[in-house]
Amino acid sequence: MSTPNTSALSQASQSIRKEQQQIQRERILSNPSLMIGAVIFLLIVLAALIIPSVSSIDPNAMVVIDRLKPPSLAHPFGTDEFGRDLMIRILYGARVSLGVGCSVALLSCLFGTIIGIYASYFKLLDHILMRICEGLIAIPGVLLAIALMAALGASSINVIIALTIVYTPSVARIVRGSALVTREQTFVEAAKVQGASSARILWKLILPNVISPLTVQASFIFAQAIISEASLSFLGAGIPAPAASWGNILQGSKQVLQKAPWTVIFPGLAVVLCVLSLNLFGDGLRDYLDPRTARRKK
Amino acid sequence: MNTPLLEIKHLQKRYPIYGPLGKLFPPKTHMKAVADVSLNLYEGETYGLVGESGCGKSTTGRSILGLVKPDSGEILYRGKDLTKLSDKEFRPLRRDLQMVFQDTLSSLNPRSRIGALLEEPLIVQGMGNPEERRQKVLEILKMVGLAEDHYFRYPHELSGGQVQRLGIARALIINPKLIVCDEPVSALDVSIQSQILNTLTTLQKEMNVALLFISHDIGVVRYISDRIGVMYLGTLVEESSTDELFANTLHPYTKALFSSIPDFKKKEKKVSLSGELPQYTDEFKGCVFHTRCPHACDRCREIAPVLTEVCPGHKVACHLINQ
Repeated sequence: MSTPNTSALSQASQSIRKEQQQIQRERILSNPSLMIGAVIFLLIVLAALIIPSVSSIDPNAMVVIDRLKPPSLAHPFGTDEFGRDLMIRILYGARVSLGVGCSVALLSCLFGTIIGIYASYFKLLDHILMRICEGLIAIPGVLLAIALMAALGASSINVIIALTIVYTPSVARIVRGSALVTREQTFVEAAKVQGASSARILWKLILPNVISPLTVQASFIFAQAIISEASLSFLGAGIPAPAASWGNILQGSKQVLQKAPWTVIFPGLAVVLCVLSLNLFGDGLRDYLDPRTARRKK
Repeated sequence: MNTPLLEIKHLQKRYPIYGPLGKLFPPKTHMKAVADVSLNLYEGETYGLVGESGCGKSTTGRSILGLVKPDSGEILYRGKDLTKLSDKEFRPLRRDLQMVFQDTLSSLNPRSRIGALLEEPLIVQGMGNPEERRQKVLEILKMVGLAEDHYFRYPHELSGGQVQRLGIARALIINPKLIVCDEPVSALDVSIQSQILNTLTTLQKEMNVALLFISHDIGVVRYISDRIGVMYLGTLVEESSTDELFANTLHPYTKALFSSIPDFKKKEKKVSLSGELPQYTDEFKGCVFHTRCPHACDRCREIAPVLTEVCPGHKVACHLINQ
């Protein structure tokens, strides 16, 4: 009896899935900020990944006679005060900045989710964890990061650790908030009546309802982490030279700002474009995940 | 009908009322949601619990399932006091005790397909392998009057009546001994109500489940129940078999409640109540109904009457009748 039944079921399942995929596709395509943000960001990522590995230019090779050359065919973005090709340095810097941003976003969401979900479910833990988080939020983010960098020493891993510590509390609070809302819903009560364990309720019922605000937050943290990393490097507390990152390219350029404005314009533009695309993507994602906001806009 | 399946003894649930400074000081007083409820449920029977909004009928039902922690009293099931069990100890017993919620749609995870929703209790209770579980889900879908192709639908794609059927299916799928139905049909219109009630009673007979049927709708309760308990302000004021209760109504509140049923044949004068529900705090004295009772005397204002059996199976808590 099972075989015809199962095949009929899988057929029904397939047709329903197809229908739903169609609706999803239409909703994504009708969301311009999501699309534009995603496309620009993907272009940046692809450029950072492909161009440096294809080109043979060493980002750290100094050519003294080519110092501070304006943009030309040989050096599309010009050269810096040591005669290094700026475009290649920006692209190498993109790898570092995006890597830091991405790791910070992932790690702070991971830890923030764990902390937030447990805090929402166990009351005593909630008091302890949330007081710690509030304490950390009270300190301005960049200041805290500088203090942590001073304690940890300058390296890209330490930048990631410092920024993760800065951003985790806010994620934890957002997760805790939406988990508390979900927890009060009747279907969680129903799961309790069925005899589901706390772990099952937390990870199978509450977590999926927390994911959508979380992904939006992750894209914003990604953008913020890029800015923070650039600020740290600019202040000399981030990625140590000579490795390129957007922040320390800008730092090196600030002395020659008037003589060679392109050394500031291009790395600055890279930061702006990247952060803008991520924020657009985040906004679009929020509209996509929460249809109510999208409708209100129209 | 001799040993009860579930015994509720002197159940009480109070909520603290704090002064203007909140929880800094001990509570001023307590509001009693359930004052003193004792009732027995027998295997396979339907016990209807009626009363107006806020009289504590839902709290009583919910405390059976541990969703509300009562302050005192016992709920005995298979010799175990459910109120004293930890979550872990309670878990195996939940196979026997299930619930149908008032707002069923919100009691279903909106992200789950119906197949997965119905499978969930089986997984949680560790019953069967995936193939057996799927068979069981399809079987129960058919039993409650849903079609197999609902398997991959989401709950919000169903109509109100279908959602209610789904709620019943989910409660029944693990073969419980008792289902607490908290206003299961209140949100439906009358024609659908009767369909759902018929499904429920048919399945109850088939599977020999006891129902604790909580409702404010006397018509529905009369239709479905073997025995009825009438609650007023956290207190069980009258309890009897359905026929006896309607033939021989004793408590003044029950009389008032019954006379609210529209009836074209009877020419009797309607008993209408005046006054508001009192605040049932710790300081409240006397019979719960004395503020609105047309026959209240001095004794009613001082001493709370006890639920006593006046004739076999018919209990009432009223000084005028217990004399």
